[in-house]
Parts: sequence; structure tokens; C-alpha cells
Amino acid sequence: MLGEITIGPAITLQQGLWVLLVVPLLLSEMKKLGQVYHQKAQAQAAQDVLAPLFLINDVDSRFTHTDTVFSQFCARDMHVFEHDHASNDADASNKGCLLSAPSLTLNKGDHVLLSGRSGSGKSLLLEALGGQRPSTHSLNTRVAWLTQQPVILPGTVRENLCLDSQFNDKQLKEVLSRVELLPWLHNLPFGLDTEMSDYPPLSGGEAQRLSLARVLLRNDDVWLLDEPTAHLSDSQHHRLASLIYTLSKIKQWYGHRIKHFLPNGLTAFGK
Amino acid sequence: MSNESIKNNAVKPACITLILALLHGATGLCILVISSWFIAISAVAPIGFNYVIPAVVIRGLALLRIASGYASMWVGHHDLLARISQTRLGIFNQLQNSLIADKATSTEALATHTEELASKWISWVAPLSTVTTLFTASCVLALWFALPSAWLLCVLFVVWLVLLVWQALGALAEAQKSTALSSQFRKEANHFLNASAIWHLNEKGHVRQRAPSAKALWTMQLAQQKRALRASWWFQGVAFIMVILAMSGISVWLAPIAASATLFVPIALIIPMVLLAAPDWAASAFNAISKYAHFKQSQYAINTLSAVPVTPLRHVDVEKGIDLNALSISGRELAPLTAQLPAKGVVLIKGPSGCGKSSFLQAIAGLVPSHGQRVVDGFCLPQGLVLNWLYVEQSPIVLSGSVRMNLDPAGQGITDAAMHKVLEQLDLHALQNTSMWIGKAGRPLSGGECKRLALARALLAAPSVLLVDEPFEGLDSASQEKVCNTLNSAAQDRLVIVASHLFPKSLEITSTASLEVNDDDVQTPAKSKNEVHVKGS
Repeated sequence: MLGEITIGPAITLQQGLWVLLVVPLLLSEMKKLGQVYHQKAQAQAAQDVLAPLFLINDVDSRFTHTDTVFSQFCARDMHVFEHDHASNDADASNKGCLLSAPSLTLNKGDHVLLSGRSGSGKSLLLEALGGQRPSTHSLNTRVAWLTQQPVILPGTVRENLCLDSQFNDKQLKEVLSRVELLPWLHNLPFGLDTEMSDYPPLSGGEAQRLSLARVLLRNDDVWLLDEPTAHLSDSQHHRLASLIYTLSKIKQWYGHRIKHFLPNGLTAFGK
Repeated sequence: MSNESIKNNAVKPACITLILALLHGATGLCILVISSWFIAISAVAPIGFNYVIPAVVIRGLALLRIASGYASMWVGHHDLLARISQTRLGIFNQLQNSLIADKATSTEALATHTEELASKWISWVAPLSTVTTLFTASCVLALWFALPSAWLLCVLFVVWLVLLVWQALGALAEAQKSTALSSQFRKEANHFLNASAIWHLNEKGHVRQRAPSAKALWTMQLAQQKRALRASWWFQGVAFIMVILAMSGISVWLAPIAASATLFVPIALIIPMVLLAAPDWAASAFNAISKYAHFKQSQYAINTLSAVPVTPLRHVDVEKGIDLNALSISGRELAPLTAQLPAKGVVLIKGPSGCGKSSFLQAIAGLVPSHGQRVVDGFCLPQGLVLNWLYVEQSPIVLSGSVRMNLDPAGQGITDAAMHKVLEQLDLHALQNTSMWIGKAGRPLSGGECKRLALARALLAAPSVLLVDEPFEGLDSASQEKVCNTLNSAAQDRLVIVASHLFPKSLEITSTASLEVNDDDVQTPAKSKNEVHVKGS
């Protein structure tokens, strides 16, 4: 405008002033765009990491039928699929099938032992029956799970056993004596109110027995037990196995060391 | 390099950042002052007024401002990356050879804290010092040159200081609450997700209702932002009031000393322009104070990182044997263990669950403090972790990395051939590709595979004593065979102590120590009779 440098067409005072005033505004908006772009890139990266979780079908719906009592489970041609299998995809019925069984029948009062080589699909069958994995058939009653790694909450022993429900001290002590944890309980400074902090004072076998006690307290029709006697010596294992056996509900469990239990009503299956 | 020179090297880029930021701010203010004077004088300029010199000066200052701004950012970020790596290495050094007592200090929390510490120069030191210097300098210069209404600038300075102090006190309190809330949320979320296997046992309500919520944390963060905003709005309001006072001539009544018809001189425009632009160049200090509060919190968290140190001892090789004299563990009610262990072979420690097998193995290795003595070849070992006696845990840790990183975490340069040999011995064919990623973001390993990988890692480190806790749990018979064969061949050169309640037949046991608990006493508390005896083979 001062006539010192002439590039392009001449501009009037109005145009020049307008350009001078507007350009800083534009530049500051572009700076803000840069900041917002970074936030967007972060959000996209987070979404990439979490997206596979959202592809798993909503499992909450499977636990809504809690009122049906278990009587019998009969399945023909059962298939168990991968987690991201789309159940409404008609022509993908056998794609991604991890396990299949021509026929499977379970009756009330059965004790079923699953045994097999490591990796032959025992957990897959348990997960399918419990409704944790997409499959063609699953039990629609309440099941109680016992996982291979015992879960100990950081609260008190009482909270660990009762969770949401209410049980009185006598019941808790009774179930602890049945899993042979009463001496351990007596050694604790505050008994049932001792806090298990982040590092609970339990060995592997004791933690597994506490989880078993938690399951024993509940009145569920079907128990799915995954290596319930892990970390226990032979004599302890025998005692706990007979304890579980005397409670006459259907249960399925597997392990590598079960010698005395005969499978009931379990037909052959394989991959 | 000595500590002094390291410190100097570390401080130099920070000083450069500071100086450049100061230059950036100073040039900005200069441009404001000169252009406001220039506009005013151009309106009343006589003929022959030299427009060129002020224009050139303004252009030069503008270029300087842009250049110093970019340079300051560049140097600052370069310095930031160097500082982050330094702080993190410092933390690792602090935590080396220690056991962390508090699980809530997760790596994620440490990562955010180190970032806060490292970004101290560019996030709050530079802005705060720039604004303070500019404010003081401009007040001093305005009073020196006796600019009209200069006292208004000084009043604004005082107001700014007051607001800054108010904002600082509030920000410190809120930052403390915010860190407490965030660590509590992290803890709750961890416990909640770890207990996923027992969600279904809860009778009432859906899982989602019970999940921990971060709402309190987010409201706190919003409150912090609102506080900083409020401080800057108050400041802006006061600045505008000052401008009105200056322009409307009321200040002439209030300060009759400076009243001598100076209101219509071109330099009278400078102070109002500076006051009007004050929110632009002075309000960044309020956000900087919030960052300072977070910095203080991170510093506190890092300083109170509690870790129990484990004394490392030197390498100890076993020639004749190890004698354990009344070894007992502090904090557990177990009878002391007295045993003689040979220099080579497999020793089996057996006993029921809860009798202390893992604790005794850890005491022998030196990971936990113990009473009693460990006597090696006739001389007594002090307390501490012997560096080449390796303990393999019951639930081993798999690092998030390649197979090679897992097998050779210390970077000792173990050859691929050696790795393949051990993997072959333990039947880990799936992991033969040593650059495959395993762990959290990679191929998940089954429980048995984890145990065998940890055993492979321990064997590759060539220990002189190998302590293995429950190697056979969770393995099928074929894998148990393989592990037995591996332990047998390892036992030909070193002592292998195995704690297990499973006794596969192919394990060649040299001697056994059994920690039996008397079954009759299973109901009575406290004193359980532990019988310990060592049988020869």
C-alpha cells in the first residue's frame, strides 16, 4: 500500500486494511485447528485400541435369565465360535468354528469331567455352556464359575465370601471349615474382618480354596469348575473332590489329575 | 562426565528456551507500543515526517517475534524429550533392586508424572517469568519516561499479582484433590477389572451399574479450568476499567501531578493500548499457575515412591553344598528349616498348600528377609539377594515384548542358537520365532507356556542354583515329561530346588525335604507342628 513493493494488482486502502485485520484472526483459528487435530489423532488411536472390545457381542443379555431352573440340556450338532463371530451371518455358520460336538446331553445331578490334552478345547466348551462365547447352544440358567486363576478382592474375608449377598458368620465359618481353611482363618489378626490388601496373605492353594468356598455358598444349579484343585496336594485334592461330589448338583470340571471320577453322560467330541 | 557438567548441559537448553520466550514476549509488547505511538503520531504528523524508520523497526520486530517464538518452541520441545528420558531413567535407577509396596503406582501414573516434571520449563516457568519480567519492565519504563496514566499500569500490576496468588492457592488445593481422585479411580478400576471372573456371582444389578466412574475426576478437572478462566476474566475486567479511566480523563482528576495537558500527546496512546491488550499478553500466567500446581503434585508423588530395597549380593558359586541353619521367615509362623543341600542335583521340597514352600524358596534365594543362616561351603552368607541364584515364580511375568526380549531381558547377548535349543528342550515350538511379539499386545500365552518360558529364561541366565516354584502345575503329562528332562539335565551342573506337590516319576530326585503339617491339628489355631526331615537318596 505504501507503494514500495508492487506485486500483482494494486489494492485500495479498504482492501488492504481488511486483509491486515482478518489475517491474524485466520492464523489464530488455524493454530487452534492444529491443537484440535492433535486431540482428534489421540482419540483415533484410542479407538483403534479399544475397537476389538466392542465387537464382542454384548454378554449382559445372557445373564438376564436367572429364574429358570436347570432340568436338562440336550444339544445336537453344537458348534463353538470365535469371539467376533457374527451370529446373524447365515452363510458364515461354520467359519471360525473352534469346537463342534455331534451330540451332548447333560442331566440334573450329573458330575461331568472334561479331560484332554492341553489346548484341546476344554475351556472353550465351558465358556460356550456358560454363555461367555458365541455358540449354537448354551445353558440358560445361572451358572457359577470357578476360574483357573483364583480371584481375591482386596476387601475383608467376609466381603470376599459374601459379595452382594448376606450370610451370617456361622455359615461362613462352616463353609471355610469344609474347604479346610479354618486354621488359616484362626491365624489372621482380625478373623473374618481381616483386609486382604493388594498382596493377600494366601498361598496359591489357599486362594483357590477361598474361591471354591465362595462358589459353595451360593445355590446355583450348574457349576463350571476350571481346575478347582490346582495347587493342592493329593490328599487335600481327594478330600475336596469328595466334598464337591457330595453336593448333588450338576457340575462340570476339568483338570489334569482327576483319577477317581467317572464322566457321566458325556459323549465323545472333538474338533 | 561429572555431575556438574551434566547439570550444566541440562540447564543450558532450558535457559535458551527461557531467553527466547522472553524475547518473543518483549518484541510483542514493543510492537504494540511502537505501533500505537505510530498510529497516533501519523494522525497529527507534520509534513516531512519520516514514516519509513518506524515502519522498518516494526517489521524487524515482527520478524524477530515470529522467529523467536518458533525457536523457543523448538528448543523447548527438544529439551523436553531429553528431560523425559532422563527423569524416567532416574526413576528406574531408584526402583532397581527393590520391591514396590504400593500397587497403585502403576506405570501409567509414573508416565504422566514424568511428563509433568519434564515439561516444567515450557509449560510454566517460561510463561510466568516472561509475563513477570514484562510487567515489571513496562511499569519501570513507564514511570521513568513519565508517560501519562502510567500509575494505572502499576495498579494493574498489583491487581495481577493478587489474582495470581489467589489462583495459585486454589490450584494447589485442587491439584491435590485431583491426583487423589485419579489414583483412587485407577485402583478401583484395576480391582473391578481383575475381579471380572466373579461378576456373575453378584445377585443384584447389572455389571455396568457397579463399575467405577471417573465422573468426580472429570468434574474436578473442569473446576480447575473454570478457576483459571475466572481469574483471567477478572483481570480482563479490571484492565478495561483502567482503559476507561485513562481515556476518559478521570485519571487527570485523580492524579493532578501528571495533569499538565499531556492527554493529547501521541505518547498518551501507549498506556491505554498496553492496558487494552493486557489480557492477551498477561493472562497466560493463570494457566501456567495451574500447570505449576500439577507439577508440584507430580514431584510429591515421585518423591514419595515407596520401594523396599533388596540388597544385592555378589555372585556365589556352590562347590560343596549349602547348609540351612534354622532358616525362618520374618512375619510368618512357620517352624525353622534346617537342611543340607548338595552342590548338584535335584532337591524336592514338598508339603501341603500353605505350608510355606514358596516363602522358603524365596528366603533361600534372598528375596525376602529371613532369620537363621545360609552357609555356603563353610562360610555364612549375609542377608541379601544372591545374584546368580535364580528363583522362578509360580505365576511368572511375561514382558510385553518379543520372545528374544523375554528370554534375554538383561541384554546379555545370548545367541539365537542357545535360545532355540532351550525352547526345543521345553517343547515351546510355537515360540521358535524369537522376534514374535508376546505379552499384552501380542500372542497370548497359556499358563503352561508362561511357566515354561520363565524356566527357559532362568536356564539361559546360567544360574548356579535354580529355585523353581511349582513347575508342573497346570501342565499335561507330555509337557511335564519335557520339564522333568530339562530339570534333570540342568541338575547335572548345578543345584536345582523344586517346590511342588506333584511328583512326576521321571524327575531324578537327589534328596527331599518335606514340610508336613500334622493333620490332627487342622482345627486348632496357631501352633502347627511342622516336621522337617531330609532323606538321602
